[in-house]
Amino acid sequence: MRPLRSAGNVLVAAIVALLIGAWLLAPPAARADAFTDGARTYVRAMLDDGIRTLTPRELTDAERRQRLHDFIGRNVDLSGVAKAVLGRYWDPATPVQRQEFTDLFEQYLILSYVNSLQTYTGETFNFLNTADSGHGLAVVQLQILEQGEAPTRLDIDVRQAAGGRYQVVDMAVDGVSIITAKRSEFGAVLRQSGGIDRLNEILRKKNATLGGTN
Amino acid sequence: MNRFRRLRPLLPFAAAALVAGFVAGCATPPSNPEDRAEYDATNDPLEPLNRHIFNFNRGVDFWLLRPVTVTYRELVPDAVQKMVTNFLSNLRQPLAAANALLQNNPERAGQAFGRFVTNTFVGVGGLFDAMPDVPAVNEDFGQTFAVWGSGEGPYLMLPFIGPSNPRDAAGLAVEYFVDPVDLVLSNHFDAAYLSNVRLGAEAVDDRSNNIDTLDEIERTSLDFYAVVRSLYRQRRSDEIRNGERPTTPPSGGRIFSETQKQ
Repeated sequence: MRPLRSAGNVLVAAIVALLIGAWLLAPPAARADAFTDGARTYVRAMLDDGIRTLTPRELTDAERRQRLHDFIGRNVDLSGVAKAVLGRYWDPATPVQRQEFTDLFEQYLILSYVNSLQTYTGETFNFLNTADSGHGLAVVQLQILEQGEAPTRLDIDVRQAAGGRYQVVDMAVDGVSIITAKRSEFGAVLRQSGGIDRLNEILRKKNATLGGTN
Repeated sequence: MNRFRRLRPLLPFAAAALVAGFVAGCATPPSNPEDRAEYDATNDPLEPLNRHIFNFNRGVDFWLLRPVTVTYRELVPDAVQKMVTNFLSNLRQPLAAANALLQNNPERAGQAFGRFVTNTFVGVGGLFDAMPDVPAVNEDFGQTFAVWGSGEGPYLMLPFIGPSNPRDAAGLAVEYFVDPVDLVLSNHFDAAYLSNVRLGAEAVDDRSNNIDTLDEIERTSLDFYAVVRSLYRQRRSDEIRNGERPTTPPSGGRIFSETQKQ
């Protein structure tokens, strides 16, 4: 390496170093802001979309289920959620078993939650805080306001998929997370029944019951 | 929370049943390391016994509590039901204020006390909520013990009372002796029986307020016992943190990101 010839060179080097440092340091911070702002904007749009497409009273059961399926396709990282819910039982499963579980799990989510969409009565959302929660996730925290009722807290965890698209990965109502609850429940079933094939069978039966009753 | 207070006089019985069941009810820990890790995370060594008690409680609910609740909902006008909820919630505020103080949280204590005074005098004895913008404070001894550093211990299903753990059960036991409203009833009005009336009313009011949610959870569950266990733990942990985001146990989002790494 050649020695620096003058103070001017040192100055230029220092400025370049500073610029490089700023360039290295700044983007993550800027990205974090854009990331959380984007997450909040996305959740707002997602909720509007959900209320517009899923809650109209005149929809038939079949239409509402189909629309919820489409909505999940647009907004939820379904295979990621299925993987999180299965936990350590995911790895040993074959691709066919995984796909079967993911499909049954989606059906199960649709049949479990579709009824509550029917009874939407103009609840509004009050956005509280949005934070980068690390691990590539942001959490958008809001309240569901209903006339004459105490507000319900809703935390929505989102990630950014390839191409910058946001996806929901979990929701927690008053601190109760869907992933945590379902992972614990399915884990209990897997422990007792001894395998994913049996869990899939139980899910299929449950879906048949749920599908018949609403 | 109201549901823990259900049928408090039966607590001694519950304790005896637990001790008796302890020996018979223990599950054998698995030897495979992965199974063992999951067993430890589930933290329910009494699961076989707990499941029996859970089924017993469901029987009590099916034959007694639920029918009474359904009748109550049919007979009593909604506005009156709302007053009952307000009234019972208001009576919980002195205990909540005391626990908020014990947790060194004077702000929440003030909120609970302010609600109690305002609703008692302006809200006609607590029948009306005169401060709808200030939420009722939910603090109890189980939460106080947690704030003081007590772990929850293994999951317990108490007869008649429902989901619990040693920490929350100890909280219930303390509350049985020091609830300010009950103390006033027994010491100044010689009306300790009213505590039991209050208890019964709380059981029905609480069941009534949760009837749709609970029915829905049962309808959609693959393993109702396991769902209740998870919901109880998550709710309690949320109540202890007063609604702050969880770090331990990890949020669902954390679980998600950890499982995506492999």
